[in-house]
Amino acid sequence: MKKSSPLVLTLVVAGVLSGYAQERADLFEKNRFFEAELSLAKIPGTYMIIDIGERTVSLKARGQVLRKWTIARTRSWGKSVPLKVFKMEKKSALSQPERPNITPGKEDQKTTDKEKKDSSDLGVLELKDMPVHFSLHFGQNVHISVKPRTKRFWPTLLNVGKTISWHTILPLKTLWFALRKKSFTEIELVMPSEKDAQAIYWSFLDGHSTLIFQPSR
Amino acid sequence: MTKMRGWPLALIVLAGLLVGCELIGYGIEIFGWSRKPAGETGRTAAIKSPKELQSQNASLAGRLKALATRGLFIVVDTAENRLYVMNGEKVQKEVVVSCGSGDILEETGGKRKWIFDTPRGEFSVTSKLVNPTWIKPDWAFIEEGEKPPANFNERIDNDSLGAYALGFGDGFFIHGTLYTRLLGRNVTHGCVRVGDKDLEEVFHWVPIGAKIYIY
Repeated sequence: MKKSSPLVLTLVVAGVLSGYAQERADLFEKNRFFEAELSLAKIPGTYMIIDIGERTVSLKARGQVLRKWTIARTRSWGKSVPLKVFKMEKKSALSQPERPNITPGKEDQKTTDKEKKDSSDLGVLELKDMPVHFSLHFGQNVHISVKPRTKRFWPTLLNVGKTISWHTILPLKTLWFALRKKSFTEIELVMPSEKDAQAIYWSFLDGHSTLIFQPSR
Repeated sequence: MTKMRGWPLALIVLAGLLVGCELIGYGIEIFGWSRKPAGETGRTAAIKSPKELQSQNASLAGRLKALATRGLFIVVDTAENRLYVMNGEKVQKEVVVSCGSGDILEETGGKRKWIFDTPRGEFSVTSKLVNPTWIKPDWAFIEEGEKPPANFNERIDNDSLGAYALGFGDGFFIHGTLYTRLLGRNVTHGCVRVGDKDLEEVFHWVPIGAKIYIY
């Protein structure tokens, strides 16, 4: 019993030190996150915060939340995203929503005529027209793909395809980028509903300032 | 031993490939390639204690909170067609509105093109108008298949904007509407249309200079 005491003591000390170091690392990460957000909040306009640890996507302005979405599930491949402000470069989807064209003078396109029309067919671009599967590209090989939890047949089929690609193409992509010594990050966000995924697509604008917080634990 | 043919063999090969790919990826992540981004070691962490970091974080959170808009302000959700009058974090009023249709109008001959989006970002109430007059821009005539008139008086429309209007720059307004059945839908040319009764309340609450956040 006496012989094992130094070993137990060493383990306890090591445990305490490791806990202390981890606490400091977590606080330091949070510290850098606050500093980065503060730099964004000082600028007029809206910005996005994708908090992988808290599983939320927030649309903010001046430090206040305008809209918040909960992420149902998230996973990632590649390097952790550096804590810095990214600009959303572009959105990509299998079928991008198309803006309707107004033909000058055509009767049923005037607002007065739209008032009389069946409300399901107004020839306008609305939330329901947004894709539910899409990717957000941030430069420096940081990509975020978004998909919904759904029970509908086609989106479910697409989800299965994405899952297969997640376990085959992405590991190989990780290898490819590692061999070329290039940075690469792919994060997948699974939204609780199709409407949430569509709202994310709607709200992210090209050039939108975004902070991706991916805590190390 | 029986020979495996067809589907069972294909499935085993596929499963093997899947596991192989996954192992390669994880192997790289765990052994060959740290998940930590380059240059992200704890510089400050090595210097500051958790207590110091904690107090610094509290101060940063306080500075962030201090940037928040004070008093009444407006938030417009163009996807859900909702307008919120906010007082700090509290929703004072929620109103169903109509925002931009996202439609494209191109002048015959392709000289000019308009995209009917509600602008997004941070704005301020720049004007408050009672019984506003709409000076119809060129697109309003082109959309109707008409030629924009040279006579200014032909552009004056005293009915379309309702009883009140809050301007927020570049000719965009939060205004009343004749088309109440379309509230909740994206049908406008970029302005935010509000039902007359709701707008009257919003108009009297919100002062000039109040912030408007549109997303």
